[in-house]
Amino acid sequence: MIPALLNAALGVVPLATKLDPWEVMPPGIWLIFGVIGLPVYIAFLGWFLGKPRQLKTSALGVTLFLTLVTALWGGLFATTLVIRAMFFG
Amino acid sequence: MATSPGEPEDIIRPILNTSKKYYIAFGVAAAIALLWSAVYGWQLEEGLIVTNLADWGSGGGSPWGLYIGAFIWWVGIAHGGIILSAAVRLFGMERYQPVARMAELLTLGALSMAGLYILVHMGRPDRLVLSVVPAYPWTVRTSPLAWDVTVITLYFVMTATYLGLTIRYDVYHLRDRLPNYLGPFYSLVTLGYSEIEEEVIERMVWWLALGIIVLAPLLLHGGVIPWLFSLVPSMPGWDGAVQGPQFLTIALTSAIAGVIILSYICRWAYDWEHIFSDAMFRGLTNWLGLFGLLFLWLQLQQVINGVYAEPIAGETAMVARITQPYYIFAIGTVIVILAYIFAQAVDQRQFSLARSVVASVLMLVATLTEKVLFVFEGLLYPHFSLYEAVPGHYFPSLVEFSSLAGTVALCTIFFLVILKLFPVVELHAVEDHHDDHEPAHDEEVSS
Amino acid sequence: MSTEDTQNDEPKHPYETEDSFHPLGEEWEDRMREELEDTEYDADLGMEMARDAQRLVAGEISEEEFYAEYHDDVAEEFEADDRPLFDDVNPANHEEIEDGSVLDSLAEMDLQGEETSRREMMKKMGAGAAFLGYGAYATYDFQPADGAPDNVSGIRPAPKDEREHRWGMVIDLQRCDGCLACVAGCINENGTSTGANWMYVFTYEDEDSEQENFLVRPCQHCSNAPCAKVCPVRARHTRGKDGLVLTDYETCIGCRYCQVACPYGVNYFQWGEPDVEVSRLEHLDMRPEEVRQLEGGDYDDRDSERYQALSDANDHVYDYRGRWTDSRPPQGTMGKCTMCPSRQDGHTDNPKGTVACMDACDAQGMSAIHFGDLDDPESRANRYLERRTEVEDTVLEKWEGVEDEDLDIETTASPTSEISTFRLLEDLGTQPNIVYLGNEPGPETEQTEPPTPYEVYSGSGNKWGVEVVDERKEHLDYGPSGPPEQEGEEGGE
Ligand code: SF4
Ligand code: SF4
Ligand code: SF4
Repeated sequence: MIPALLNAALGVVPLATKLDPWEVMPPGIWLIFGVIGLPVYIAFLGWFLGKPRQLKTSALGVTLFLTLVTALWGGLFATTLVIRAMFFG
Repeated sequence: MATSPGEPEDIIRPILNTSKKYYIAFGVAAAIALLWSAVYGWQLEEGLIVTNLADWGSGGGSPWGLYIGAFIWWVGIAHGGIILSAAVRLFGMERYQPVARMAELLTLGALSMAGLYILVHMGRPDRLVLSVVPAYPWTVRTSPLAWDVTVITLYFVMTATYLGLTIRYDVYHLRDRLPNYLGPFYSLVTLGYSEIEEEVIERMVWWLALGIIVLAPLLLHGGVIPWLFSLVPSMPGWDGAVQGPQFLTIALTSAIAGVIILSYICRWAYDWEHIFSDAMFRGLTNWLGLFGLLFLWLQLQQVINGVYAEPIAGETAMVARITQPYYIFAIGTVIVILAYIFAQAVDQRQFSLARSVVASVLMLVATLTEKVLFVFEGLLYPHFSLYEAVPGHYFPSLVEFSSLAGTVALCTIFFLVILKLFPVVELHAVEDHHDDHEPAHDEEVSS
Repeated sequence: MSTEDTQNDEPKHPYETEDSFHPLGEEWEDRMREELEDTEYDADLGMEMARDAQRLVAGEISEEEFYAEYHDDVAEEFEADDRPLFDDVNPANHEEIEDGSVLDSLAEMDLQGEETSRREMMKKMGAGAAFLGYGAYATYDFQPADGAPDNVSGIRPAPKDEREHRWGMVIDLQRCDGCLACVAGCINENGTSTGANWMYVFTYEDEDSEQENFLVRPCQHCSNAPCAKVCPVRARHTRGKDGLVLTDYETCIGCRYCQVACPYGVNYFQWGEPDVEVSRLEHLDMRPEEVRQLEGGDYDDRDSERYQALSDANDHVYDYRGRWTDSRPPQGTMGKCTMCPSRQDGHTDNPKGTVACMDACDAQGMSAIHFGDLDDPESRANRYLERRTEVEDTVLEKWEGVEDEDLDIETTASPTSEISTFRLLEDLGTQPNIVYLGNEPGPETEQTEPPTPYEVYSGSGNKWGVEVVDERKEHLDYGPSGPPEQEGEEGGE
């Protein structure tokens, strides 16, 4: 009786191979947006919720952050276009 | 503290004065960088065939080599910034405040070089943005390389934001002593500055530092970079969760070594003995020792696990690694350096700045060797052991070696330019000591 | 943006439409259990076995352990356990996908004297397995019950009912004599550069036999391909419709991550200028983006403008989606065996369902390579496999003097078959689509000189006049100027 119950119970619990994590959610999704994003979210939350706080300065920080992302990838893009024009035209 | 404090004049001296050394350094670095860009141009023209890379498998070569090794190495050096700002900003270790900004700048310089290596490594660098960005919503799910690019971008941007926020204070307070021809730049940097923001900025950079200290070591160098290797099913030499900590310790070792060298050069060039004190260098040397020890310890973990009871494929890879002369060289070097650091820790008289600098240079050579070896040795001993008969081998070509000189030169140029733009030592670092220590020294302050 | 107009990745992605990674509702599970309990056999035992079967798949226990554990129980329960040692579960039994080879063999016990037929028994075991979600184990290649994993954004083939084919090969190593005709056939078809032997044949000796063995190694076109998972730009991808693993030469950035991640070492990067210029390849003379702009059809839509253009040109460079995935890669991108997609898309003069290496092997009279749709029991690959294993069975049965009807042996593979089949490095979970007949190379094997050197096909030995070599590294080390006189500028070594 007990073993039968146990077996039945175990059957309901998803065991290792039953659950293909790739099908449910590939690792990158939670890794990037859940784990690696955390430090960034925390910093931003700290800016806006921590004290002392000054909305203008926090906004400045965000602007700087976004400008830098754009500049980095924009610059990279320009570089690759130059490489393309020079060598892969 | 035995050091005499610096003066604000000291830290803006590099901006105002240009010595002969500066011109020479700039000239040499520019020449090397130009030379290498010509070499890189040749590589773009002819393809990666100019490297000594080749296909693994029936091809008998290694498709990844020095470029990837150097990429990891530069990211490792970049961690100097976060170690130092963590020490100063999160743990209040004031002693290191003078080098904190330089270390943060090193982060930007070194990360740029790492990014450059991604480009240099590729067969079609011209597609980097056009191929990677549109595919990102899909590749982020599965590709460690996409993760890598994400984290490096975040790391770079967070560090740059951090710097952008902290130099506002310095530039604002030193503005009247800074040269006018850079006026527009300084106005941009201090855009909307108000004295009340100082406290807020202080708080914001604290949050940023907190974010970076989790992101950079744990998620970048102890995360996505080792995962590039340990997540693929093909190479037993790369297997294992130990890769994370192992990569991280090597990175931190390189980072401290980089900071020591960089601050030594600045001290020598600008007579900053009183700012970059011996005591500070001794402290950094001890940090170098600590990280170096961790580096060795994790190597030991891997070697023992590899040779004792690994499945056969892992054992083959490990035995091959520990009998590799370059591996023995790298580990031997670390051991010798540690011997020095231990000696100077026990007996202060053993310490000398020159020795610490030499130790740091050697340490960087050792970590670079280890990294390159890790990459291609792993590729020579696949699970699919039939290929072992195809004698795989790899030794970097001159083209590849020249990239090292090229990136070091570019990083130097980056610093030489920065030195002209804003103080590489925080104003806070020289201000804090100001009250309790009147400037007794008669340092010539340039007019 | 070239990646935007891909058609292989159906607009929906599992995360968007995800509803059932586990198709069995709770109700259904209960029913299975009831069904099990209905039999005169111990339901708990069935369940337990099924659960352990899952652990077996997960690699937590070995087959031996599995049997040791259940031998007695099963013997007691069924009064007999004549199952053979399970060293040869034929993995390619397509008609049996639902039942699966393992359950098959579990049910292979001698049930003489019982009214329960083997089939019925199997069903019950199967129910036990299904109850616990062991569908995965019940299929021949450890895929979920529908035969192949869902299409995770272009890294896996579409589920069985949504795809048209699953191309693969059955390669009979016992028929191979190392003539390398397939290697040359592939070079002729694809114009690959020196040393980029998309098809490669190992010659090797086992430690304790002097016998020469061969391993014919194309890309395994894995259904769970690590190379496609790691590609940072989705250039390396799996075509959902037919499981071909291809590289889009237009998007590949040449990072070589796929090459590093593939456990089989089948990738060949285009380090320099290709030996065969693109103009010499048989192709539709258009820029790739123009080809993609042609009005295209679905898979196998022969009326579309694109299909017409491609077939008029006997094109061997583009696939039905208009993506540049076939023939040798351009400089700076990754190449590997493609399983000839332009043939499979039906716009070349060669029939669909053939590949050049197989044609060459057939022409040589060896017929060791059998390409075909592994989903289709009537494909050449499956029919060959069936016939091959059947022959072995007949021999075996004769020896044992057992009547056919008694055993109710299916015409396909049985665990008692003596010819062994294997897939390379199957335990890495890559789900390769190449099935080998013959001996699997063990860990102590050593590669030896091939009886026919690769160089034989150099120069006039192939259509393009390119050099053919075994090991590519040496050739590459000469640098861009190539091997003649001018020795490598770069001091290699
Ligand atoms: S054999 Fe290698 S290249 Fe081919 S599909 Fe599998 S992992 Fe990819
Ligand atoms: S080499 Fe090309 S196909 Fe391979 S992973 Fe890199 S981008 Fe993708
Ligand atoms: S299937 Fe096609 S590409 Fe692959 S080895 Fe055969 S001929 Fe070459």
